[in-house]
Amino acid sequence: MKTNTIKMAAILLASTALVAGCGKKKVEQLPPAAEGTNYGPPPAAPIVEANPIVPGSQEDFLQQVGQFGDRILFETDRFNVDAEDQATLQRQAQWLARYPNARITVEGHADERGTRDYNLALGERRANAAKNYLTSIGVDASRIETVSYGKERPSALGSDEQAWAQNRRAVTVTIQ
Amino acid sequence: MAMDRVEKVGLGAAIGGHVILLGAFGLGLLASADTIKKQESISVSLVGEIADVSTAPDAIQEESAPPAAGDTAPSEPPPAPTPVMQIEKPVAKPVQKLAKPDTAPPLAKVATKKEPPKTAATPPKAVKAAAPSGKGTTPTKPGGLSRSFEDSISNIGKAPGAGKAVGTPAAKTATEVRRSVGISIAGQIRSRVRACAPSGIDINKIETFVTLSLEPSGKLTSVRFDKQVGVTDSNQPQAGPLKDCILQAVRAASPYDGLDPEYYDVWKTHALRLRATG
Amino acid sequence: MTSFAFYRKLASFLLLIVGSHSVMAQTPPPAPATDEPELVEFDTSKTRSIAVPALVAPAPVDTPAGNSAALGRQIAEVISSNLRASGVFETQGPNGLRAISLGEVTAPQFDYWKGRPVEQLVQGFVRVGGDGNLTVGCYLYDVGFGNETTRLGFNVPPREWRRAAHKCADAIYSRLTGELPFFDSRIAYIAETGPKGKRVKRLAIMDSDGANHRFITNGQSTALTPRFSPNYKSILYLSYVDGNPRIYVYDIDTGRQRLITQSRNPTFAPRWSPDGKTILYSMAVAGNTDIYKISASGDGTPVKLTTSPGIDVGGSFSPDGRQIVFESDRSGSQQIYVMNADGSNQRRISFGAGRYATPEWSPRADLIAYTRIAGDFRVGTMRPDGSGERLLTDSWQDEAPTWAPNGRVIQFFRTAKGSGKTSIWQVDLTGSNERQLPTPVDGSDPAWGPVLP
Repeated sequence: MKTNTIKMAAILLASTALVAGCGKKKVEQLPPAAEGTNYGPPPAAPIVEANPIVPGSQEDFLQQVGQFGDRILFETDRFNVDAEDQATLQRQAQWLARYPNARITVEGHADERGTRDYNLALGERRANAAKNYLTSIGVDASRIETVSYGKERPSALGSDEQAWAQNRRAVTVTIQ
Repeated sequence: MAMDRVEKVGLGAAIGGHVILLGAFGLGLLASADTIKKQESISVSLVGEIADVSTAPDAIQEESAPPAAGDTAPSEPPPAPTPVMQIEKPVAKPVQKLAKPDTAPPLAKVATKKEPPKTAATPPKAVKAAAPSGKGTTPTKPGGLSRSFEDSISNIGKAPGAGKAVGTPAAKTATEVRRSVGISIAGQIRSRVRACAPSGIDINKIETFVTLSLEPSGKLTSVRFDKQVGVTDSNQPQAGPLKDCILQAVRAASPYDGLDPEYYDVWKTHALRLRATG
Repeated sequence: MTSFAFYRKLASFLLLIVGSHSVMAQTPPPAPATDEPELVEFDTSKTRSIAVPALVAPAPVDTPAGNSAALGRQIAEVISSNLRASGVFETQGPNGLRAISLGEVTAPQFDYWKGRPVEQLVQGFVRVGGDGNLTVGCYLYDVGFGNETTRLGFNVPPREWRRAAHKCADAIYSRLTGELPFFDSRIAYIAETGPKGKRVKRLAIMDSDGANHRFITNGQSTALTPRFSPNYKSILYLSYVDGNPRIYVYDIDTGRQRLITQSRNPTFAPRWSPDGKTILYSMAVAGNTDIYKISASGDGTPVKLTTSPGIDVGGSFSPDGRQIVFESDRSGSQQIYVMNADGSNQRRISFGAGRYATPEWSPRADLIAYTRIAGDFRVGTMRPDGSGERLLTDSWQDEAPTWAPNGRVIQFFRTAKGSGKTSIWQVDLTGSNERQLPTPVDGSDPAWGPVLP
């Protein structure tokens, strides 16, 4: 289903480009109108996207894996990949299978409630835990980079459990 | 208890020897120090360093006072026949190695502490100082050798605790005297130590022991640093400055008030043990 | 019994009795009894008052750093601020104090100062030599005892007048507290700006009192955890300039920097050895972080010091260079461990309630500073065997303590809950005198260099 949409979008994009690139053609002679033909109901108007997503792109990835599908979360000081995390990573692996040339970086993060050096190490642990799982389900390790940001890049800005829980994460980003 | 012959003879000899000895004391035959002209009289009883229990000697031993040190600087050794006193010179604190930023030599470093030129206590002051000893009796007057003798005689037979009773069951034991002198001296040193004592980690673990040598007037002739205990890695930097501070404070507090000349023998050398609180 | 034996026994008996009485024959009586004297206690908690009038400029002359008379006042201000900031002194002046005459500098009017009252007095002068350099002389007097405690002098180019002031303040502080000096030193730290989600972090350096501030990096890439080399020639720090955490040695004079290792693995938490010849760093291989050491010159191969499956990170040398204290979560939570400098004999020393992180060995060798995490983050000290834990601060998040070069003052950074704003703070070893070090913008990861020669 998704593939069809992509194919459709690609075709539309290509045809739009072609048409855009053309100048006006001279119409010589319209063919005679067919009589008695029944073409059926007119087809539904095609969906033209304002900014069509490039397959294999980061936007494509994000759309494919769904909201928050680009990240897995952890408990305090933990770096284990639980069942929910596995499901998320599996979707990522599927996308990666579709785009064999795509490469990713897994960014490891920690919440602000830790000391700086330890959090850098912890972020690296989390990134690697995600990478290890991905490789265990078939993604080639050479396609996966890791980087730790420790507590330097919070995504949720509060100083409460809710924010911290969101910040303890390993986020997958495609390398463009 | 049966005694054998040896013990009986020995006992008899001992008693006889005592009689002879004490008689000799009474006659002054065994005085071994030169009697030097005293400026003030000091009655000294045999209560003192021998026992804490008061005794009632049959005769009074006239002790000679240690020669007055006069107006010498406190750091010079007192020419006294007292047991060995170490001379306490003001110790220059080892200067921290601070290299200079540029080449010019520093100004001459004078890292000594000059002694405050405190004038020596005059005898009248000392006499006045001797007054508040809490007994309410007349202060000793200079040249009152016979006077103190009379006092002593007149006090014989009085109840303990009454007046300067020397030669009677003594009003104070050596321990009591030392304690009250200790309180007096401590009070005069404490505020000065507080003004110069360094603060630091575990500063309250260091105990500093010093010994004061005092004249009858309460004037300090010298102070000797004995030891420090409780110095740790953390408070070690403060140990030296604390010692210097205490020595300086002891010197600056001289002459000491409120020291009863009556018991000079008890406090002529006074040991102190100091420690910071908190 | 034979007669001989009898008389011998008698003789010794008598000798004993006579001997015991010989004491009486002495005048005067012997030394005091040997029982311990009674304890005299005194209080040290109060601060000591010290007056710092403006230094006298006997022949005021303009210099590139201003008129020498103005410098005399400024030097006194720096001395006064330093002493006051140490928490040990309550200072007077130079504002509000009368001018000192040149003659007074070496002959103070003790009675006047006693009447203020003030316990200690600093006086001095500033002269400008024919070569344009300043000669700064400072004298410390004890007002109570009425004598001079110490004097010293320095020759500096005019633009380095602050160093002369710091040196004077150091000498005064040292002399009166017994501690080693620390004012004449520099601090490296991370200057922070921007919103919480997009912090800009720049490497910066300044004098110990915040003066002579300078940004080193421009903030385009995040800089973290700087450390001055013991000779002040370079700064070790972490930078994301190539997109990954990498450790660089930045040369202050040339402005150039080099990687300490070419490894592609992430590296962080860089530290110098006390002699500046070795660099400790933490590196993550396949997700597992261990501590390594490498020659500071850049030659030689790294030596791996830890091998546990846990996170082993950080590391701080003892002043004699023989041991390293570090943090590890091999026991299940962050705790403090000590090992020999070759990695042997690794043993845990923290056993209190909570997690223990960021250990730093005092330059005095007597204590280890750390961050204790038990709900809040608090800075504390313990002895190298783990005993004697003392917490010095009590705030939501205080972390990453480092030591002043004299091992008496601890510096750390404080994060505000919610806003995430950071600031640099100092506290005395005794837990007193907690104060903020003013910085142009927010600051974190402060590290103190040694006293300048």
